[in-house]
Amino acid sequence: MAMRQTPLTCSGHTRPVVDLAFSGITPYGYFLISACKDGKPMLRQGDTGDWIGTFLGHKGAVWGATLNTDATKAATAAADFTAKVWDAVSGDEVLTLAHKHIVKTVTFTQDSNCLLTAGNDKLLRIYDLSNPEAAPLEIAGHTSAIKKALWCNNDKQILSAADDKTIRLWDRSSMEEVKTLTFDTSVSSMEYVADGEILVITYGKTIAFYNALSLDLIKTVEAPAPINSASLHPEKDFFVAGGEDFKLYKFDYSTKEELESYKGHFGPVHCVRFSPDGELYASGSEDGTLRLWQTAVGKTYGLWKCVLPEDLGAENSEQMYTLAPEIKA
Amino acid sequence: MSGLSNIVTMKKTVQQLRLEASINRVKVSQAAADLQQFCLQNAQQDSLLTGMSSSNNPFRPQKVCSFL
Repeated sequence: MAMRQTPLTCSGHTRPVVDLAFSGITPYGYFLISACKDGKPMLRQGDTGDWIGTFLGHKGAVWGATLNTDATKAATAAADFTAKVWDAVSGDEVLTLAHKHIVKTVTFTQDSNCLLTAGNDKLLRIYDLSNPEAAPLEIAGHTSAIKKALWCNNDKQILSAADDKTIRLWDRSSMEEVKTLTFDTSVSSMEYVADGEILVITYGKTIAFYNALSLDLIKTVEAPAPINSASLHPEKDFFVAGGEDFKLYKFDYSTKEELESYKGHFGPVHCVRFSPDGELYASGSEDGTLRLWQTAVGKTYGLWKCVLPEDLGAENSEQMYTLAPEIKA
Repeated sequence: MSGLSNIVTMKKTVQQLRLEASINRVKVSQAAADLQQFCLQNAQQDSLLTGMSSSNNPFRPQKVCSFL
């Protein structure tokens, strides 16, 4: 029983949206940052999709974007060989960190004191934001471009996924490789759920769940089409995935059953993320839009109001006005 | 002199920026809600929605006039 869902479509970007990140829940609600090949990452209100501001400064496609937990700082990784740290409240550029190649991924530690970056130079770099002039710590090991890097295990360890078809777990203090996972094909995305230490990985048509500490496989789920990104609900009831067939799929995490699929995007879905309260998930696509989808369709939340017109079935829409038009000539 | 025209250009730029900064900005969701409300409130006055008598309709087929 699929209830038709009206996603909130957020336009504004002029090129494909390649990465999305939500902040934590702040006293002002939660926020969303989108990385786009047009070089202009945007900050949006997380529950309504309202545009708040655009970070101007990058001179190339922005491949990765992230917010810190309280949404006071943003960081972006771009094809202009720099990663930038921004003040998310004013929009000002705070730091520019030069790299030797395209930077693909950036992420803050929980206390926002350190920034992890990685990209096509195959190195993981850790910057101390209280001492940005100092050279970053560098971790080498990957044999090709790194696509995604994340902190895990309370910021004591690092997970990185690269085009060399491996995912590696590193210890931060020793800077050594602890474990490696090898795949037959390149991993398209990686998400870390701290509560429960679960790693969500996508490759080919598979969505795989691993224990983030031991890198033991928990389960895998096959989707109907190649998947570019997946996200697990904070309460771990469901996960959503999107990929090359432009659709968003929703699966039950425990039974692995495909519950629903939603059409809406006009291009491949590059990134999906659940909001920190789990009430909605955002998808970024090749078509340049972000769409916000409700987890519990029919619930009144944010801009969604459940309206049940008598003659149509149960349907969720913002507001409906029906009138039989009569035009006489 | 180029120095003078630079100042003139810059003054114009500053004035334009001041105009742009003073524009009243509203969140997209609020603007969308306002637009919807306006359309609903004024729907009765919209001939495309509520129809129009043919005597008023300026686009009704015209009767042909001929010279006597």
